[in-house]
Amino acid sequence: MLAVETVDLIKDYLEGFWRKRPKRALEGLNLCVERGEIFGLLGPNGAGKTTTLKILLRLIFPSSGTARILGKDIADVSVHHRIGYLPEQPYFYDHLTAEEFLNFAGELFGLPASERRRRVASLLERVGLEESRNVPLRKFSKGMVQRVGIAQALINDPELVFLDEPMSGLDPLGRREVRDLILELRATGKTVFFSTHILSDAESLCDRVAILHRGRLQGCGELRKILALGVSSTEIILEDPRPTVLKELDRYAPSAVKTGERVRLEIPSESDVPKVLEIALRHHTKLVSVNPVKKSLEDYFMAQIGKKPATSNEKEEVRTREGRV
Amino acid sequence: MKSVRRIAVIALQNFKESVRERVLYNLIVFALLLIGAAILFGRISVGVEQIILVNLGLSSISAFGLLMAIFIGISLVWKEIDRRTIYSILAKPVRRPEFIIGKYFGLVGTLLINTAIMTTGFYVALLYDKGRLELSDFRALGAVYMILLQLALVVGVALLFSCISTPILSAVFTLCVYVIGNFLNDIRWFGQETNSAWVEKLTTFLYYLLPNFGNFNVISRTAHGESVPGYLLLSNSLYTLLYLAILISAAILIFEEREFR
Amino acid sequence: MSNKSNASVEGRLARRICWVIVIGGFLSLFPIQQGIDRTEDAMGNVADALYLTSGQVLSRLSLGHEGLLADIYWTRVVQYVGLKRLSHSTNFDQLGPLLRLTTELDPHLLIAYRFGSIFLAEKPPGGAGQPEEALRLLRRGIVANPDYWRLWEDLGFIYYWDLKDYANAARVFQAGSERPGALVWMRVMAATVAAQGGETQTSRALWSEIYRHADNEQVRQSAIEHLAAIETQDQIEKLNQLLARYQKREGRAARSFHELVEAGYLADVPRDQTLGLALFGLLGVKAVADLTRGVSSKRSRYTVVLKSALYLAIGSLVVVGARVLGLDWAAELYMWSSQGDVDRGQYGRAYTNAVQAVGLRPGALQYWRTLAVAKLAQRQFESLLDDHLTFQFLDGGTLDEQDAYRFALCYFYLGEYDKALSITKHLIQQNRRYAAPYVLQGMTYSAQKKYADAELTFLDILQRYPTNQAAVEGLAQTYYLAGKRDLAIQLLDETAKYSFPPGARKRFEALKALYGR
Repeated sequence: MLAVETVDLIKDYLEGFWRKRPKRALEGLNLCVERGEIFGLLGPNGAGKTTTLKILLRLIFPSSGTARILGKDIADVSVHHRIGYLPEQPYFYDHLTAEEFLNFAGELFGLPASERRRRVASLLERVGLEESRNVPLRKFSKGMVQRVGIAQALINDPELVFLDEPMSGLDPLGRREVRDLILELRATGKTVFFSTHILSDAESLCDRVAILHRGRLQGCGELRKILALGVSSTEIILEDPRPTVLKELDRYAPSAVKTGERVRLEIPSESDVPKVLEIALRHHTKLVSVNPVKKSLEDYFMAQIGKKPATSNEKEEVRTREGRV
Repeated sequence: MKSVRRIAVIALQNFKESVRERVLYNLIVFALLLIGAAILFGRISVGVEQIILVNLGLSSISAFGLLMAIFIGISLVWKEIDRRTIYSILAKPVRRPEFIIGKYFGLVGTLLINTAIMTTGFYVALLYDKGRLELSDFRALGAVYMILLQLALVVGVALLFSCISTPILSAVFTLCVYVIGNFLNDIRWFGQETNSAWVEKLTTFLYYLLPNFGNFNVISRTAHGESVPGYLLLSNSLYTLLYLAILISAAILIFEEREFR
Repeated sequence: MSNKSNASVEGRLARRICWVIVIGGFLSLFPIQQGIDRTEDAMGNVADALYLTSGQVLSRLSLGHEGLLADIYWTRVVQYVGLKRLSHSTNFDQLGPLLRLTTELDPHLLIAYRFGSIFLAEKPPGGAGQPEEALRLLRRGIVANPDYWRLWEDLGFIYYWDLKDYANAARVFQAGSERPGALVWMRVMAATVAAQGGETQTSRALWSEIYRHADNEQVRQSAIEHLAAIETQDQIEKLNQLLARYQKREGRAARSFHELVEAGYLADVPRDQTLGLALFGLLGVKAVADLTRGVSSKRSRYTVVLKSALYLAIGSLVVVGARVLGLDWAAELYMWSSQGDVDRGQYGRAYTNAVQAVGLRPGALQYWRTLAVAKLAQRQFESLLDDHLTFQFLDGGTLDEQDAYRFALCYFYLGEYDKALSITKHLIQQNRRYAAPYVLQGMTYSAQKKYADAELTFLDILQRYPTNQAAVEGLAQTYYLAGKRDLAIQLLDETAKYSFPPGARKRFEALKALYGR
């Protein structure tokens, strides 16, 4: 059973005051999230990440398509017993204290009082707010509110947690803590579905990612594979090579960048690397380094969203199918 | 049963939130001051001291209750949406009708407490003025009950508008409905006087469609020492209950379709 | 998939329940609201009470906003009067005190004096019928606003219309006319009121004044019509006097305008211009048609143009004449409106319209009859009797039986029973099938306490017309007055044998109940 599954999810917003025109926010989204993984939904602002999450949580309704959470249709609110949700830039009743609010959240799940007390205390400790438990939320900083938000998302010990931009508003230390928390959740067998526009967070956390741009899924797959796919060239740095050497290497390395004494060569074909090395050694040129160039998530991301929109539906479908493998 | 429990949790939370509104205290203080001033007014008018005190006291309770009802009622749902506090609530196993009903009862609870405070103030003023309270003085409680019914209905109207509109517009709409609801008798009379079958049909339709707040006006009767007839209490309770069911159902119908962007 | 359908079924069910509640709720509200309305109607209204009765205290309480408070109180006055009128209540107890409070708060709130005095002075149900209270209010207003002449005017009118105290009215009009800015007609009013105590001349002065100062066309038009009516009234009076003088001198009534002209009472016969106009048109057309009879063979363009021009000229003359005279139609229209007014119970307007019609066509009897009906409705019996000679004169020396009956009715109402009887006897003698004079005669006898004669008269007509409701009622009444109660009830019982309309039956039952008590 998949944790999250969406099939051809489309969302149109009606825009305009008098004459409402539909504006497509989500264009036929197909996603699968396995249980027990950390899944990252990536994309620039306005890509449709929050829309996707709100559809899954029944805050807005899809224009067409279906979605399931933990095997149940999203229209079935009872599944909310088993999930947690941290909204984007959360805001809670600011006259309540952190403790009161978490208690209220627990009551909504129908948790018995003793259980609530236990969980509230442990969660406050886990997000580092036990000192401020009796402070009204209106006196909290943005980062503290974010932590309360995470705590309330976990109050029911959910199987699946949706986090919308969990790192925003946090200082580096806080980000680190949240990152650890997410990893900890995976360790206890939970599924984490989070959205972010910060790629480094995704790179360091996700098992799989999906990239959204303008409501379309641009790519989806295991992070490991995406990054491995990227080993595409080799970088060789030489120190003070003679011009004749460079001339000889010209046919193997289309780009040679000179900085100071050093020259950086990029060799696209792996089979050319020994030849280049042989030439360099023959001329007694000093070799500084030989590195395989790995593509970062950012390169991949840029490449994906820089792509021209798919020319045909067929192509699109092929790609998304690939993503689901 | 779980549903009822969730409604109760939301109602209690909303009650706590409303009770902590500072404006409420100011209104209550103001109302109590006015009730106190009624004693003064009574002193300078000859022969009708009690009438003035009861009139002004009950009118204060009604007017300030109305202010509170509109003031909190209009932001009831809108504030939750505007501040996005509703996101984390609805992501929990809370059905939307439960949320609406819970919110409603929370506010009615607030009004109940506030009215109780003002009523106590009113009786203190009466005690001060007369030196003692007689059993007949508690006839005024019938009028207070009618005021409460009226406030409950106003909150229902405010709730409905709060699901659709911004607080300011909701306040305007709710006030309009309240004012029109108070003049429904005159509107129908107007319809009958125009001698136009269409206008008369329209005004009769409005008469039965809009909440008739004129039903609850028993203050001046009470001031003249009449007690509110039991039948009136009963039928007005039934009326309010039914109308509230309509308002809340309508609010739920709207709220069920509502998207939180 | 089953999960999905479960969830959506649940949602749909909830929605359906909500719709049922909304629609069913509104339907059930209906009987509840009706129940509440019934209870509230049964409870009646709460007594009016004015809590603060001292203007001074109120003024202090207003914290310097006396003006505003006065305005609010004035609004209350207006609402008070309005509500009383709506509920057809005649209890205006609070009006005086409310007005006093208002004017004590703001002694310069002129509107409160002016309209307040009208509300106070007007007879119920339109007002409180307290002219004395109105006088007090206006006197206070005059003390506070001595230079405002309109208050004097209002004071004068209360004396004049409501109290019929012409001496004081004239004094007040005179005093008011000396205030700065007072219009001239205040003096005229003073003079006319003093001289006549409310005859047509005062009325004329008033309406001329209104005409001169009217700022709205409708009012102006109304003033013109009233002035014309007054003019006609004068003429009617003159004609009546003329006829009376003729009769006195000649020893017999005049039969036509020609007789009056021959005897030198009138310079000329008032012509019925419409007929003349029609005659002129016909003769003119004939003359033009004859113009070229001899030369019809030579139908030149010249003659065609000439004839067309002449036809056009005659046509225009007729049209212009009709527009200038336009009398016939106008008179007819006035007559119709007057009859409509009588049907609607607007007797004052009926009278004015009828006078207009007579003014336009004084020689046509039907307009006089319309006027007679209006006068009867207004109970202007003496004025109608004044027209007696005119009716006779226009009808060629005799009186139509309907006209005669009307005069008899006037005498009856004025208590001149013998004169009424002489007319009814004459009428009965002339036409035994005309029921109305019988009834009137019976009622007259009854009023004279000649019950036997009354009984005979009623029985006479009942033999002819057993279902004459008025006769039955009259006879029953006669029996009752004569102390023969059982006979009256027996008579009413007997009516069951005949077919009467349901309205009549109801009345009989009511009478029976009355006599049976």
